[in-house]
Amino acid sequence: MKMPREFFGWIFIMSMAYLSVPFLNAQDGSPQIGIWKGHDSGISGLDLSQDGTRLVTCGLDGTIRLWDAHTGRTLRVLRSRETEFYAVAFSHTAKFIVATGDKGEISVFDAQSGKTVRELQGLEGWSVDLALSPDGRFAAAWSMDGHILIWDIEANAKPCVLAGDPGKWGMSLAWSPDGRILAAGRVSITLWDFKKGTRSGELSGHKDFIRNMAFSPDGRLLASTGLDKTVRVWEIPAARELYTLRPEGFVHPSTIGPVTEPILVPLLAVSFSPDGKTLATAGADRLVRLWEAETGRFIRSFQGHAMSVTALAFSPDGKTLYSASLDKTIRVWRLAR
Amino acid sequence: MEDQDVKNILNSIEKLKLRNSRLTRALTASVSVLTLGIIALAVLGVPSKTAFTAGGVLTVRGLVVVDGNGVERVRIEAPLPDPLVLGKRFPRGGVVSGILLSDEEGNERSGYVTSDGYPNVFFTLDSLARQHVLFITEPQGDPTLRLWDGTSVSTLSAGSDGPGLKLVAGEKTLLEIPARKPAIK
Repeated sequence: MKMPREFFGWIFIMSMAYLSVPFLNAQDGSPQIGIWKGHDSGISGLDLSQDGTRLVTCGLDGTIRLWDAHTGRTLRVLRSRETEFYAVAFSHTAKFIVATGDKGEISVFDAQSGKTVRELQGLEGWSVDLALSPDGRFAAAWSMDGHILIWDIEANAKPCVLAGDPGKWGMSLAWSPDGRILAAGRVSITLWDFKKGTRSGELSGHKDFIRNMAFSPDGRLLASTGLDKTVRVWEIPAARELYTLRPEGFVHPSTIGPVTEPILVPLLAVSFSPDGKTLATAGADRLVRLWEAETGRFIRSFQGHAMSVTALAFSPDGKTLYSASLDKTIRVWRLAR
Repeated sequence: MEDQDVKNILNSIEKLKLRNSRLTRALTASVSVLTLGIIALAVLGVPSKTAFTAGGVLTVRGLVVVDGNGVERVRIEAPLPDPLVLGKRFPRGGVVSGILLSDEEGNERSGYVTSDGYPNVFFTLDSLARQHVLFITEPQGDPTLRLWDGTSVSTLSAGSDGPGLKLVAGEKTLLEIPARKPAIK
């Protein structure tokens, strides 16, 4: 039996349409160009190497996964004594991967071999976040006695201590791009002059714990997301709040497809684009949102994650955004048209 | 066949008999120990680090129910672990034992527990990040129901000195009956 040529044409068109469905965003048509799977539990941390070639994630399954940032191929899986990891970061040249988990140590891995280089000791309890200095030499973490510990990650030395308020520990840390300021987020943000080891400012406004912070690439702005369901953007030289965002909407599945409930929920992740013009936020709303960094004007949102979005990272060229979620996936969003 | 050959053969036979006898004794001993072990297990039960049963009662330190995605949804344990909140675990600030309910993301959302040290019993309902309902009875009594969201707080209590009701919005007390402060330890 001879099939008409149009039949094969229709088969081809229908196949292409079917295959393209996973890459299209249901809400606003924005392209989702990848869904990467591998973690057995929720993903809690994510970082991209400075050259944009490798992505590292950590999760509640006690693993750290190294990915090819272009293809999504798993390059290596690292394990430690931790049963849960909460935050992970590449050192400046991606020589090391540094992570914190529930065992009260900061683990330093060789990114090439995957071997544990050292375990940084000294924390009271454990730290749910860490920050690496821009030169990749120092790692900072909150200790649950209220102090901030700073280690030289390439030396077996005791950590330096920035003396905080006893017993008042926080959930977030961020280092300014010039390495001079370490922002320590609790309910307010303490700005530490890293070289002097002294407090240089205090930013108050959040009503609950701050969960994540990020400096703009020029170091002029600091964005913070909180369990108080707000995003606040601060001008650092003036130590004042520039604006507050209260992104409303919580996505959940229903029989007719995803429904967005008009409620406020905690926000967990924030990141500036490399040119500093765009701010990305995400959280328990399961949405990734983009804003104009200078004004706070809403640009667009990406929908796809089935659970809370915990971490975000822009590619160095600003054309791609990576998001990690408790739904065990990393989603890759194309920003440039 | 010469006499020497016969002697050698007889020697070899004696050696084989001796070896056979030793092997038989070793085998008998092994089988006996194995049999005794099986009988002991049958009589005393299979020992386990995690659980044992006696009279149809399962005795464990903890029991975890997970959903189809492997996410922990119910945990009964003594003591319970620290709470998981939106992908990170935080210190509970006290030792408690009982039942925890978690949502589909693994966030702790409710507990029905007793505390170690100071013997309160309480029931809690939590949002994604915060506790919002506490129903507590202290060792001497004084049951209290407390509901709060941000600075809005409602407290209903009963005690040896009578019942109490208090509604607070921010710094302002909207209603207090009688004019006293219900205590929560």
